[in-house]
Amino acid sequence: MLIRRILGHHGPRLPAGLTHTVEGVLVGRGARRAAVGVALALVGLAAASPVGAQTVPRRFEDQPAYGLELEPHLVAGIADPPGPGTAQGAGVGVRGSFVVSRDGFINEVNDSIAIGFGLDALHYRGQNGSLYGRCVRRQPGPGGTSVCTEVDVPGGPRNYLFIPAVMQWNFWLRPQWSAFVEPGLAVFLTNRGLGAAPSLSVGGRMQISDTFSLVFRLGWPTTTLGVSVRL
Amino acid sequence: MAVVNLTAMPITSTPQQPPGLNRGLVRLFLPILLLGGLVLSSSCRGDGGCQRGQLCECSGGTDCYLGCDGDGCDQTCFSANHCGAVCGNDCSHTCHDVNDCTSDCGDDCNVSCHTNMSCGAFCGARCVYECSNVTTCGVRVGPASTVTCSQVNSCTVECKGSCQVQCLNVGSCNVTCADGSAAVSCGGNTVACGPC
Repeated sequence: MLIRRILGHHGPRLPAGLTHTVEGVLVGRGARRAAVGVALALVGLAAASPVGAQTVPRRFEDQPAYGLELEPHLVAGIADPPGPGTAQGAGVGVRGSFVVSRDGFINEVNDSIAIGFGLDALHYRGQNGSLYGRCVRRQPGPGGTSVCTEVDVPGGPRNYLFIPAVMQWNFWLRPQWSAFVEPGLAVFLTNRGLGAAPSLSVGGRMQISDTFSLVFRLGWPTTTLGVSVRL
Repeated sequence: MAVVNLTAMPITSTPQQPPGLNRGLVRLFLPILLLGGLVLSSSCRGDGGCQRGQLCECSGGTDCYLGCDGDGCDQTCFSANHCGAVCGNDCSHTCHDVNDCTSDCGDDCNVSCHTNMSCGAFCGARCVYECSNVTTCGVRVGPASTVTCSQVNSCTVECKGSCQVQCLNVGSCNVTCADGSAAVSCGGNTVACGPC
């Protein structure tokens, strides 16, 4: 119902399963912010793809033919990450998106579906952290001592490794421009262990050659800017 | 009446040209991407709230464990039950008036542990470690390090390379060299792994 309300009764009709998927990833931390983002994206997409519009290619023959999009990118965490980290983070990563269908969910729109997997390493600086914390790892030292080798400081800086798995729903709007929505799941690893969180991104790509594109992705937990290679 | 011979006209298709590789844009963008990646992916060994060059002090209470967001932290801990500091390279750690104090530090560190029950440390190359007025002192240091134990009941030092250990008024001074060789006496209460 959330997606239906966002799109209104004149927007494209989405399959019920997908609606539930998108709504499902909105539940949790940052849900309201993510909902606003995806609402804006979907409203924009709905406005860009009305029935009868002449500027939108309708056939998947108009899409670039590729099987895998490989995308190294810079990564930013612009909001608190899931797990123990706080504040903003930055790092590098890579994403691989495999096209699973060149015909997407909406018949009237030139859309396609890909499945994406990635690896993103970020360092979050933390904020309002105490200067001291607790010892979380010790090793036996010389002379019977036990040396603390890792300190966990609440609110302190942390390193994250994200492993996102997403469904990439592409909209091929113009020969050089396309947009996408990516609901999915992000597994993350920190010094405190393993976790998982829903992820949601909206993005776009600008084709700069037959093979290369600039790709921007705004979302949570990560936002990226990179160059993709279609293979 | 002019007759246009259509067959004589060259038939040329005008397919949409694929956009050529914007080399200027790529040349601009890729170095920025690579440089940004290098800067952002610089490793951080510590995991605490102390920043490079910052004096971080902890006192009182039960536990005082200080981390460092990378290298170059100045960490001090005193008057607590348990103290510890974890840091990257080029750090200094002072610890006194606690039950036990430990240090885990990279290269080029300077550690002073005094007036405590026990001191323990892992320290990298070129470490300068001072242990005084302590019951038990156990230190593992990297190459080119210097350890001083004074007024200590038991001083145990493991050298992972060349090192010099000075024991002053020490009940038991044990120096172990990583290559299995025996520490040599350099005179003046100093023993060494490698040359004096």
